Amino acid sequence: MNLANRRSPRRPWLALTILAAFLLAFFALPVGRMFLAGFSDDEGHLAGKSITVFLANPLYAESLFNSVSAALGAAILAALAALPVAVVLWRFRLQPPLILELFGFLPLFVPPFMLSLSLQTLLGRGGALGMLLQPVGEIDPAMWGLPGLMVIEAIHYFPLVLMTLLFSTAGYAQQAHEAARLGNSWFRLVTRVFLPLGLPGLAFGMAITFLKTLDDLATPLSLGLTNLLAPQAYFRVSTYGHMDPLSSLMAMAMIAISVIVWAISAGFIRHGATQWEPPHRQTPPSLTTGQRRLGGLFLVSIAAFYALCYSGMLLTSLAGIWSHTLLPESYVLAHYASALENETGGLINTLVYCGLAALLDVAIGLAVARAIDRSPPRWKKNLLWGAAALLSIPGVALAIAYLQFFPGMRLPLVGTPLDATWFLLPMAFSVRGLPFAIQAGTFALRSLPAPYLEAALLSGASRLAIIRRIILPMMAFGLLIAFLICFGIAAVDLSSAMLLIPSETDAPVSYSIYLHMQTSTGRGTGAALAVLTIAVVALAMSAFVLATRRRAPVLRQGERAAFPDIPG
Amino acid sequence: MRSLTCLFCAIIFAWLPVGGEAAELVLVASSFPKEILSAYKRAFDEQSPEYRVEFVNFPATNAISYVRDRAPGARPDVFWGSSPDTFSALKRHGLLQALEGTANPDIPPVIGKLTIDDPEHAYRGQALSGYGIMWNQRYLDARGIHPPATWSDLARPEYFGHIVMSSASRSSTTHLIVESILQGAGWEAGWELILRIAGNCATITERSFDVPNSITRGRFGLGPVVDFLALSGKYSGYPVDFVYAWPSVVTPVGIGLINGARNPEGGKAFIAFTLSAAGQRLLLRPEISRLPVLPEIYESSERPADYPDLFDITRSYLSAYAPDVSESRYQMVGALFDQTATFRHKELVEITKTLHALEARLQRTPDAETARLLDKVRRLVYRVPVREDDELLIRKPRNSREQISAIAVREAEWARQSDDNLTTARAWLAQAAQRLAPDREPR
Repeated sequence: MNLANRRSPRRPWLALTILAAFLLAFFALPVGRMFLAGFSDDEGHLAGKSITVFLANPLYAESLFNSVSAALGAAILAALAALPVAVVLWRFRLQPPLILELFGFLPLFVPPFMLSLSLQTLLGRGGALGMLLQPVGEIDPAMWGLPGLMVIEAIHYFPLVLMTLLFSTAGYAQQAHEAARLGNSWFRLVTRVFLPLGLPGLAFGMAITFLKTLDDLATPLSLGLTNLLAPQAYFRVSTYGHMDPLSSLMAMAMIAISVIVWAISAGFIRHGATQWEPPHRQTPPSLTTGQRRLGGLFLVSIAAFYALCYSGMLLTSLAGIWSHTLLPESYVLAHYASALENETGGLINTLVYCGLAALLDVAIGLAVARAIDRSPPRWKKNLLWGAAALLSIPGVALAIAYLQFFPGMRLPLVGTPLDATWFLLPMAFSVRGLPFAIQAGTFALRSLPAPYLEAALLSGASRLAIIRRIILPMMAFGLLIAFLICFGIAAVDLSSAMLLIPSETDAPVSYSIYLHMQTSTGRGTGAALAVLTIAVVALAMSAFVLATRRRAPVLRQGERAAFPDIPG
Repeated sequence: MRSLTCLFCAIIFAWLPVGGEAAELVLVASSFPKEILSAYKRAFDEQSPEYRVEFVNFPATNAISYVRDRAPGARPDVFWGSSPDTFSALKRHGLLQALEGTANPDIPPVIGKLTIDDPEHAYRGQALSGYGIMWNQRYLDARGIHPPATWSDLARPEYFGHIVMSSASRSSTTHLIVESILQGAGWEAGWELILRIAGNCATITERSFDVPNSITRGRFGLGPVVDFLALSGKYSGYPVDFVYAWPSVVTPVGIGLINGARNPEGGKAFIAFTLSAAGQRLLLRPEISRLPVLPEIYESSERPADYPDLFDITRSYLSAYAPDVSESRYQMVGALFDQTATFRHKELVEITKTLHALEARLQRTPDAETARLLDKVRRLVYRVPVREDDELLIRKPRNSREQISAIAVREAEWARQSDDNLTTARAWLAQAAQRLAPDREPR
């Protein structure tokens, strides 16, 4: 970062001040205020009364226990499913096509309640498998209680856990094969090489699954589960208003759990054997045709499982009347027409808010990443994970903090009260996306080759030219990834949106889907909207892969830095 | 530097849509489903291009906290909802402003025994809602069950596991039904019936809409709903039907202007539109299926043949229903429902199931002692932990932190008591099962 060192010292300070002001206004102060609200009485004196009340009600102890066990269960189930698949892929050095790898990130872009609703359609008593198997037993996931939530979240986050596992192990598959050729048993290789290598990725994937499940509001509600922290806090805020001290306490309990889990997983990730920096590209594996076919079948069957899981959504979006019959009585496209006709305004708003949140995230993430990059080496990792841990705040908790902090404040110039505008939504989204943005920013920065910059500076190029000709092209890929990830996270962040939206048309598309799916006549429209959303995400990913392929020779370096372990 | 540029671009970008608007925003808060809201939005935006209406959707049970939590000027312009209790509470909190010049003279002030508008013009009646039970005919036929006629039918064993209902704290429809049962049958007996119905429920949903939604799909068989949600399913071609159940209540759907509205003129324009012939005619659309308050609409050719008749419905109106009683304990009835039914649903279902099974066995092999035990269980489990004259239910709620804490203390007591009761009930049920076991016929 020699370029940065030569800049006038004023500018980094300006950037850092803006960053600090943002974090203060939209993170530290609201959360601090909520902390005080949980522990003070009407006169503002510190009091422990609300804690006593919280502990006295067995319901809250149960909710705490249920929340932690559901999140833990989902993380463990996802890991148990991902481990054998990852071992098989590693053992046979099967390389899923890049597009499939990218679909591993789909869980970040699609809210899990869609899976829940899709499965309820398929497995509920009203149609498809559920109706067929009704004489044998109940398979509607809403009837399973807590395990239903665990299974749905595990299915939803499994691709993500699998991807993080593959990323952290792929680099050494080649060496393992050579070791195996030298007579090491595969069992030994798996326990001695694969597992230690995979631990950081596994810990990361499990932590994300845990945190997202803990924070999830729409999925438990769609399953009729109320005795969890997030729904209880949501119910209390909506019944008693944001003055309620117990919801502040529940929000704080969620923050505490998130920070602890993040710290534990960060420990695993830091002490992992790899730096997530794989060796250079390996020679393509020499697989026999049979192995390749088997591998293809393996990957296709996983993809088919997911297609089946979401087919309930697809069927609903195409169904005319579907009531207590195996399959819909008729198929129509009217729901798509209605979704496109009535929801385009909402879609555009979604683009604006989530785009704004993602832009903020990329800017802030990059600034933080650079600040961390320039800190002493031994602090770097600690800072990176510390920053991420501090910011891994559940959406419900952040929304409650905003509801307490911002009433009465007005927008400068316009004079409209802040909480009557959609302004708080992108702010909440961007705070939620920051941990990911900082990681992505670090990757993007790594794709900036210092020698190029030095050479350009030595040859007397202007700063503008350097930014235009070197920095932007080299970092474009990383920045694009950061933007997409933050955008996706904002678009599915239903937990904060459910509490913060000022009007329905200002809501992210996921909230519209959630609302639509609950009415009998709007259900098809909601499903059509969901299918369209998934299609848009899939198209964006495919376009992204195509663009990567086309620009591969130019961006090889960037690509590797941003997705360090993609063997592609 | 780049980050700064990004930030500026972002901020400018963010203001673009706001800067480019010509039409004035009218914000309507409502608990209605999206179909109704989008139909009115389209019609109103078309008729009055100077305004652009937008909606904020949340359960009517949360209206007070939602409006009060926002400063005047940050509040929505209009509140539109089914629950008369909510309007009564909004009015008492001073959150509504008087409506002048929005009335449609063709709407009669009284229909049957029902007064349509608020006497002080704080809100107007825009449509009528009746409450009853909706069922899926195919679902019931497949299981050989007959449709119920009254609320108490829902507590019968044959409906166990087939009912779906929403929570009284999250759905103003359920709240109104619960309150009408409480007022019709009395506090203790009313709660017993409500808890027995809750024990028969397969699930308790988060929003009112999910009840008719699950029934139209045939996921569950039947449940308590507001008429239009059932009728819209029926007229859209689903195999569902509906009956106004006793003790029945018909209430006017209210619409009112919020005190502290950002755009009172726009709000009034929207209210006037919903009361006009064009606005009333929208109610007949199959996906809406609400009962207009403008009598001439019932004469129109768009009305489906077996559409409910305005005067038939208002005849059945239970005049004893007292919205002010309901309003005074509004929050607490919701909280009690949640503490005793929603949050303890799993346990309630388990005990109800055992009770039904033992009752059936008891009929085959009568035993006085077992009958006594089961009676004790019923009295323990289906009992509300609070008396009707409890201070919490009589005192008007003030939303201070102290009062919320006081309610939370009571909630904790109820929860502990309910846990104890469930443990005792399980023990008694085990005793009863043991007494009946030797007599059981071998399979």
